Amino acid sequence: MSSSGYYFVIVGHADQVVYEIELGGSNGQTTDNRHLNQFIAHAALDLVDEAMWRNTTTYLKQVDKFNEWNVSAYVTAGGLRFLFLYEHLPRSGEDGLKNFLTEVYETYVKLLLNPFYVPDKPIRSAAFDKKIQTIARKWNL
Amino acid sequence: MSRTNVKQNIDTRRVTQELFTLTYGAFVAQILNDYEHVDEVNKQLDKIGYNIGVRLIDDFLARNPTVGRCHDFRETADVLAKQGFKTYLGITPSITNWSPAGDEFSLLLDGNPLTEFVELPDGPGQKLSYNQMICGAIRGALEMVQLEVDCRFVQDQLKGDNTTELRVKFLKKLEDALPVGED
Amino acid sequence: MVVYNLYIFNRNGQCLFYREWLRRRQIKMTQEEEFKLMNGFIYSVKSFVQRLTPTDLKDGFVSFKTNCYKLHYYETPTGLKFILNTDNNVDNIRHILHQLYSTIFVNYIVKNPRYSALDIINNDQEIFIEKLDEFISNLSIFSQTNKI
Repeated sequence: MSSSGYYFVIVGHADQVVYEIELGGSNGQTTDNRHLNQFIAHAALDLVDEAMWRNTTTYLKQVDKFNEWNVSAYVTAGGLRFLFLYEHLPRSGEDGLKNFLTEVYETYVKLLLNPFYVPDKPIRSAAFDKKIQTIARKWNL
Repeated sequence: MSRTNVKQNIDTRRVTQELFTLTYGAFVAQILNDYEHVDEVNKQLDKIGYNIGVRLIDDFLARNPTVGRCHDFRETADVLAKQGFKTYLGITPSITNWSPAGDEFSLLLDGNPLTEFVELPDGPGQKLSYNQMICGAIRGALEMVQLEVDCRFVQDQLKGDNTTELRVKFLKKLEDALPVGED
Repeated sequence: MVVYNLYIFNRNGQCLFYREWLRRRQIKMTQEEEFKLMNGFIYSVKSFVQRLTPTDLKDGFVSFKTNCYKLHYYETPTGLKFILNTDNNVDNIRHILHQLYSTIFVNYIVKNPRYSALDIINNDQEIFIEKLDEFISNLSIFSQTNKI
């Protein structure tokens, strides 16, 4: 992961990847880090599950740290976990991150209303990709 | 029971648009699951629409006692767009692209409530005519008032077109059946 | 004022429904023949009226009178025909026949998913028959004499 890059993943109910995207950073390094990113995210899941019961909010802030990478999480009412990996907080700060995740959730809910999307199945919609990128830009990720 | 009473009854029993949209969506998705070929799904949607249309027309006429037989196809188009669509889908499509002979026109659907949230699935699913039920309903309803029409989508926003365009073509006027032994 | 009987025909000339409230005289034919006769008669009168009209027709054939009864006719654009026989004192009841169509027929027959557009209405359509009776007996033209 480049110093300015972020990794965002949606984890389904069976701990599987529903959606993942790398944001910011340079494009050259994407493939190298994919496994590492997934590994870090996976390692953080237990901590997310713990934090989820200690908090009443959907946004859990930072839940884990692995070397230089921080993991923040957002848990939806439906039990879906959004994980966000970063080295440094985006320029918009903690609030920006929170807003980003909240808006992603809103976008996800709209996707869920599409009759052809089956919950927990990988998201392959190009329109969804685009929307996530737009939201990321909005919050300076 | 007075007329206004009935109208009130109808109006208070509304459902939210989301429930309607999601019901139709779940329904189309299920048929798509059950049938292997998209063409078959389109055919089924058309059939279901037809069955709705042949009933809906009576409900439509019951609500609009002033609507009588149309004198020409332009009047039909007008009633269809401004009263039919308005009553049942809450939208008023614009009527355009009349053929020179006046027997074919297009309806441009703006903000179709059926397709909100919808994104067609990849692969063969791209051929799905999601709104085909509307075509069937129009065909069924007009058939009951002695008009045989052909109805299809020529443009569809779900397939990446700029607008959703529905083409209605007049085929022939159906005649009343003669009683046995009469000429 | 008295309401005698009601016929409902579909566009194919099939009698979907018949009900009588008062019919003192028995006729010498089967019900099937009677329906056929009525349908053929209505068809002829309709075309007769249309062909011989001296001015533009608005509503077409509405009713006719004999010295002992009056026949009222209402046809929907979908080809459903409602025929109601009353005594001679009844005025134009077109609006009542439309109401019968829109509040009773459409609500209890057309909207019933078990019914398909060409079915004959059987006696098991109890709600329809009940509502129809209620509707007719609440009409001002349905007087006490009917209830004997």
